[in-house]
Amino acid sequence: MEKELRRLLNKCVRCGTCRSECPILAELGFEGASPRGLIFLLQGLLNGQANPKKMADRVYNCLLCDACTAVCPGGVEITNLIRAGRREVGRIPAFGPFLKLVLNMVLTRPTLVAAGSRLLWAYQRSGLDRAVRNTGLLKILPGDLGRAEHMLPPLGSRTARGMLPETTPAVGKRRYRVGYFLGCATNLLYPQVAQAVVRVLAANGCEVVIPKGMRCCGIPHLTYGLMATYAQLLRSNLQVFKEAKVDAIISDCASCTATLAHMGQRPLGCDADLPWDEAAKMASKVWDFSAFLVDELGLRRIKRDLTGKVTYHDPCHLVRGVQITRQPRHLLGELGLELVEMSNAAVCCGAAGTFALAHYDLSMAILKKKIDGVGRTGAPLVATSCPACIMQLTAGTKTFGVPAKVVHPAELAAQVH
Amino acid sequence: MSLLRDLGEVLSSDRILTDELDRLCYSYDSSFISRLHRFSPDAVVLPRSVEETVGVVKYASRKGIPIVPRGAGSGESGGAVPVQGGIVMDMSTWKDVVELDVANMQILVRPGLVHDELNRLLAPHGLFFPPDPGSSKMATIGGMVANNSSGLRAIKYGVTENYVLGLEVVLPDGRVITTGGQDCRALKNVSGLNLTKLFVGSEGVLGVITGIRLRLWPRPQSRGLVMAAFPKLEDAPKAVMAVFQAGMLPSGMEIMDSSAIEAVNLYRPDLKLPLCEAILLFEVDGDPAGVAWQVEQIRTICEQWADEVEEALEEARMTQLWEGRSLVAAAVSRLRSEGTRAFIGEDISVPLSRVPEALRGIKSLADKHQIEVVIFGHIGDGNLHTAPVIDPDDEGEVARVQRLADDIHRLALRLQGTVTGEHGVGFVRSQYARQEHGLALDVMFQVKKALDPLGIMNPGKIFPSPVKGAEADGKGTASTAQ
Ligand SMILES: Cc1cc2nc3c(=O)[nH]c(=O)nc-3n(C[C@H](O)[C@H](O)[C@H](O)COP(=O)(O)OP(=O)(O)OC[C@H]3O[C@@H](n4cnc5c(N)ncnc54)[C@H](O)[C@@H]3O)c2cc1C
Ligand code: SF4
Ligand code: SF4
Repeated sequence: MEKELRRLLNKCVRCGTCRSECPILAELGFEGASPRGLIFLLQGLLNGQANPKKMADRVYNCLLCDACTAVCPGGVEITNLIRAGRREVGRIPAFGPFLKLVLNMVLTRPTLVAAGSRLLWAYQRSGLDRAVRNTGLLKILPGDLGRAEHMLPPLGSRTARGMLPETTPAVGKRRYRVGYFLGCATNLLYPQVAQAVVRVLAANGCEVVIPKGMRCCGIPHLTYGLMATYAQLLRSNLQVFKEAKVDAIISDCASCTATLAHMGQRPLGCDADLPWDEAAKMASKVWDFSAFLVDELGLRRIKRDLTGKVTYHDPCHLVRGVQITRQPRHLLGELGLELVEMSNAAVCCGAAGTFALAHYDLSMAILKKKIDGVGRTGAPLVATSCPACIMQLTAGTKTFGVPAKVVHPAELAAQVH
Repeated sequence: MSLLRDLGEVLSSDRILTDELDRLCYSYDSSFISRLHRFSPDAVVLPRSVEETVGVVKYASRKGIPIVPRGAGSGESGGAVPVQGGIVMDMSTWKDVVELDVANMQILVRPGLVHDELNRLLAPHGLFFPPDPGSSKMATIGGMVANNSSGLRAIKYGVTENYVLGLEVVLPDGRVITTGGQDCRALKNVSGLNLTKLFVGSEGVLGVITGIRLRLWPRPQSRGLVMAAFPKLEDAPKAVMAVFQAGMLPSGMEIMDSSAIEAVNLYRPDLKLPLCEAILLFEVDGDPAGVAWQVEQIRTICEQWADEVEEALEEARMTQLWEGRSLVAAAVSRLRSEGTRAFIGEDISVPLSRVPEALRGIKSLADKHQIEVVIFGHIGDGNLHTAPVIDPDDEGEVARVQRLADDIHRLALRLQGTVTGEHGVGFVRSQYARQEHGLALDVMFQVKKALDPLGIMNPGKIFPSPVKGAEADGKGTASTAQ
């Protein structure tokens, strides 16, 4: 393992090209915050020159947005190396123990996820959220959790999973049997997106299955270097997909899409013995919602009934993770909307999973630039294919006073079906 | 800690770095030498005003602490590396445009502005800053001025010094001067000794550059590329000469050898460069009719030797090809799975007539030292970049690549060239300074001593070390150690 890491780190020629793309460096400015700096420090970690304890803060000071990797002429797998570095340092700073518990216990069990969500719903419903904000009680939460609390959208009393049947029949003739990979964030925070996805797929001749035993895609675990749990989740999901016998696996979440689409590749730093070939076969069935609709189903059933301007934000994991940019835009156009591009469409919004919870100010500074870009388009709608981006952009439009509504393309598509 | 406290009186604490990991991150630039040795600074500062810069310089001067200015650290000569410790001044976050004067075709910027950002902000005004380094995405204007950088368009447009109208410089004693006339906006000015030219290319050894007034050029209306694939490497220089003899001056003339081609294809597979011994990439610009005519002429000339000639006139394809060539320097790292590209002996420049000899010479030296070497560069002005691909963990290869670099430098001098066409002397090429400059080196050193008697500005650069030895001999001359 160490040898492989060393070899991959060695590939960096220190040209600094990656400096041009890093949103974190753009805010902080010093070399240690740059991708090149992180690669250098990871080399130091392996050589015993950089203290692992101090390194923990460094390797988590990154959005894993892949912008650096995409431009690196030397072919350095920067983001994978940073993930592997997180495993090497072995500890999560800020609210580490708390987060580890959530990731290893709660997120791996669908029933606990639902229970947690109901608790949060009760918290918001009771008005306790406002009370707590007023008392300053939030300050006792670890990391920047307290300050980031306002970003959470109002939750429903039920999760998407609780609302949707396990199998939804196709409208008309069945063309496909698809598995809908209902990710954690959509399930908990945006059940209306899940409903829209199922509705559009079914309307286009898909029998939609939401397999019961399906668990988290594992991206939070990869992010925090918890490789063993990741492997466990993958093994279990693989089995579930196999049993569901589906033609395609559809996801509305960029992060889940990218993670699932790469599940055939052993992540750096993961030494679990898994059926990687089988996983690769399954990975080839994974589709982003818009891509499936545009490239596979065709847009036959869509009416161009919507009007007005829309701008599109490229989630990092879609644009760089699976190189999808064309299809969601095409879909928006076919709905009748006028697409106005923002200049910074493919720049990270600063959400990056739980990044905002630990680095609130930094995340907000990155978000500010994004929202400025949205504002300049003058569009009243921002579409994006990722629930975490939806949450971040919604908080951003409110905080920075840009009157634009943030939606998933599926929600717009559902309006004309 | 007293350093932190003292500097804290000059600039805010979030722009002073003394943490060990942060300091380590300033021990390198792109040079291979900074991979082999650790040169950590004692502190790093990120100034964002003249006052802050002056404050730090005055403090360092009082204490006799070295100061090393730094831009993006994309230099390949160890120029921004603190070889004698001290304070690194990271100028990269000070990137304001002080004034864009479109009518007078000039701009005043702070040193941290990145080259590509500058040209992007100029484009809507129909203007551009022509020097075009391969490192456009990262190199700062301050770094470009300090290194007198150039790049892919030097053949027609010249180098950075041709565009610097004036500089604001903080001298090692803390005085601030403006060269090129205090209030001058004229495009021509021969008044006084040309201090601007003295500071351009001074690699941080004479002072810290805090303001740069650049002259801008009108953006050509049109451009076109011609890519020619040569089955034999040695035919490429013939085509270059023939283009000149036909009375044309392209804005770019680039060469890539077979390995460089492979590297670009690995970096940007969509480019699909033809596999052959050498590719020449010509860029012509100007009015649309002239561009079309030149593209045709160059095609005809190249067809004498080339197997395949492509005319690229559409913007997307031109951008792709240009970017592929620009970053080949780093893309070369992809050629070997357990290897990397070493920036060493990478920047010789030779007379045009001796380019074929240089190409042959480099290949045979690579064979002699058993190191894989990739060649590309600005063939139109004889500036050849050599990129060894080595396993940095293999001690034998590391030793051999250093001997190879030395041989390449000596080859360049034998061919009446120079050891550096555009990257600068820095820390890695000072040993050839005496041979290149003879007595002139002593005069250079006298200039340095006059401005920086304490020797605090970027010590260990340009002049062969140990400079201290030279001081000790009482003649104020640089060491002649060779
Ligand atoms: C992939 C790649 C391609 C390249 N292509 C080219 C090319 O085509 N042409 C070319 O000419 N170069 C090229 N270079 C080399 C390099 O990018 C240039 O020399 C560049 O101008 C350096 O800018 P920088 O901001 O990185 O400066 P740094 O590397 O940080 O510093 C360079 C020198 O300038 C000094 N300096 C920096 N800022 C100041 C200041 N404000 N005041 C005083 N001194 C200062 C430093 O002390 C140092 O000596 C390339 C490098 C790479 C990695
Ligand atoms: S772009 Fe790639 S090779 Fe260049 S410094 Fe960044 S990681 Fe290293
Ligand atoms: S992944 Fe994004 S945030 Fe992290 S180093 Fe790369 S560019 Fe910066």
